[in-house]
Amino acid sequence: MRPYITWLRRGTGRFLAPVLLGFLLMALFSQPDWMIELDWATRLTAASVLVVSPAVAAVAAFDTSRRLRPTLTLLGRGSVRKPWHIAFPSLAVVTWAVVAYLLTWLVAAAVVSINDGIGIHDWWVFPEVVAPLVGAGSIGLFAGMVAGPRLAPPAAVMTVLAALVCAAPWGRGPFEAVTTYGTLTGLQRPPVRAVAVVVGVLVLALAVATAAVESNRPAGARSAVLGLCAGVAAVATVLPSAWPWKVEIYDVTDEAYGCVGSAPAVCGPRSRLPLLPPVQASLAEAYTQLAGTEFIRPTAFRVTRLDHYAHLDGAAPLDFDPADVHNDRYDNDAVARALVRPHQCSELFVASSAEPLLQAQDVVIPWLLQVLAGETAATPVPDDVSLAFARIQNCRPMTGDLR
Amino acid sequence: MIFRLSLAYGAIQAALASAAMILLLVLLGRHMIGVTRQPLPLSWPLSVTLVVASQVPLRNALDPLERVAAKAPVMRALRAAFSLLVLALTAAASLVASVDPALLVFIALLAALGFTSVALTGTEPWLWTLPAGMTWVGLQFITPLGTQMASLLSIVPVPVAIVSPILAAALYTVNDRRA
Repeated sequence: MRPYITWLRRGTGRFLAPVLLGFLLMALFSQPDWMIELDWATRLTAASVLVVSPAVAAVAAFDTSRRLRPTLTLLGRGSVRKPWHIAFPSLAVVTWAVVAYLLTWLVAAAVVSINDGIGIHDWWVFPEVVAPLVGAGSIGLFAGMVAGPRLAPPAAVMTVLAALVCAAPWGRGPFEAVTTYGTLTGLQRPPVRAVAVVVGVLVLALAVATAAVESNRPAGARSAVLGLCAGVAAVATVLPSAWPWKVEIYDVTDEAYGCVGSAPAVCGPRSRLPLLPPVQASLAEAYTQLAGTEFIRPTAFRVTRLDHYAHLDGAAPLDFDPADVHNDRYDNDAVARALVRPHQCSELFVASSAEPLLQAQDVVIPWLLQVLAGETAATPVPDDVSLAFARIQNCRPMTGDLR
Repeated sequence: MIFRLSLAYGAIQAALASAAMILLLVLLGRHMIGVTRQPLPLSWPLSVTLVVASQVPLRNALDPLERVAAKAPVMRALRAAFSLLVLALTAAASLVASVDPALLVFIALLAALGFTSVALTGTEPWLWTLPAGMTWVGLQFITPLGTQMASLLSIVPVPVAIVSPILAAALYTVNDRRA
């Protein structure tokens, strides 16, 4: 344990950590819409794994090739008590990178808590971020053990990026993590797929680390072990991403739904219900303003994601985005978009029939915005608006899933 | 013998860089036909790899003997020519594939940085190109900065960007501080 702590204290990783922390915080706060949803924040930070993992590999390779290997050469291989102790420099770098992520997540959690937002539900994000960093560290270890000190860091970076690209045609590479640039309300990360990705990366890391340890042995069945490790690493790189599952990285949540308020009720996954009262209040206020018009027919709105319309049960679909909630109010734009969609029109998914409906929306939405802003009376509804909305209402409703 | 050595290392360099280029083009090709979901973020760090790969053996990365080869300006010119050849192929392929010129400008400026750093500071080429390139890529994740930096790249004329690594390669040829 002491060598590991020594590498933690003296390795290059301790310089990497503050740089990473600054980068992660800047990246996170440059897109502040996540502030009431911690799942969104954590998955947003996962985007940066794409560039952090090459950095971890490079620094691990640097420490291994320039600082560990000369010591091994000087003192002899016997100076390492156990073969796997050579992994300590890389492990220390990975630890510092993980610390940077943990601190970023803690800051995000504090911000979400201050804003009375929703805590974490998507726990898979943690192993899915840490595993690629462990894998990148093992690549750095291997590069540091086999490549010359001048070549090791760029070789590690190139290997990590090449693995990303090689796996790209099938899906995601082993050194990146599933991310999101929008809300995760109504979505869930399929656990089976998350497990496959994490296990795949860890198997890859183990194979590469074993190869690195073997490369430090003087003789024996080294080539056979190295060959085996290469094969395992190759399979572990491609297999999780080549798994014959559907392309979507998120599924519609299987969480139970609940509703808030009435006239109209707003329904969504139970874990997200605390986010919905401002939406319900704004929609109820709009209903009051639009009393006596056709726009207030839906008795309920239901959060719908991934064009999944199978369980609407007569409710209007709602494209809910927490970023549209400001000062406990749902933005008028979002309210108008909800009101203009009493059901999803199947014609919108066909290029030839979509245009008239989009034109109709372009007529209705500006008028709705004027009403919601109190700039015009809701009744009588202008003829062109009434006709346009009738066209939307008379379209063929989607009742199942898009696919 | 020195010439043969230089040629051998140049060939390794070209092979490394070509592999990176092929990967880059595969990726961009996928992007063009829209098969992969996130090809664009990957193409930038891969460009960094391409540049690093095209310049790595400028120093005695693989063998101390290569230092001997790097002492003669003709050999350095030969070495630089390999790098420029790979970059020219990449540029041509990018133009044929109608790839965003900003990516080409990025690659060219990064290559120029690699040659210049070797010529003026005597360090390994990757010591500057790798952090600079990856930092640039990392800053793309910070939204306002990313937008500003993308527009910064777009104001650099492509001919200027293409000429810059050529000039930097010439500088490396005549002035290698560690040769």
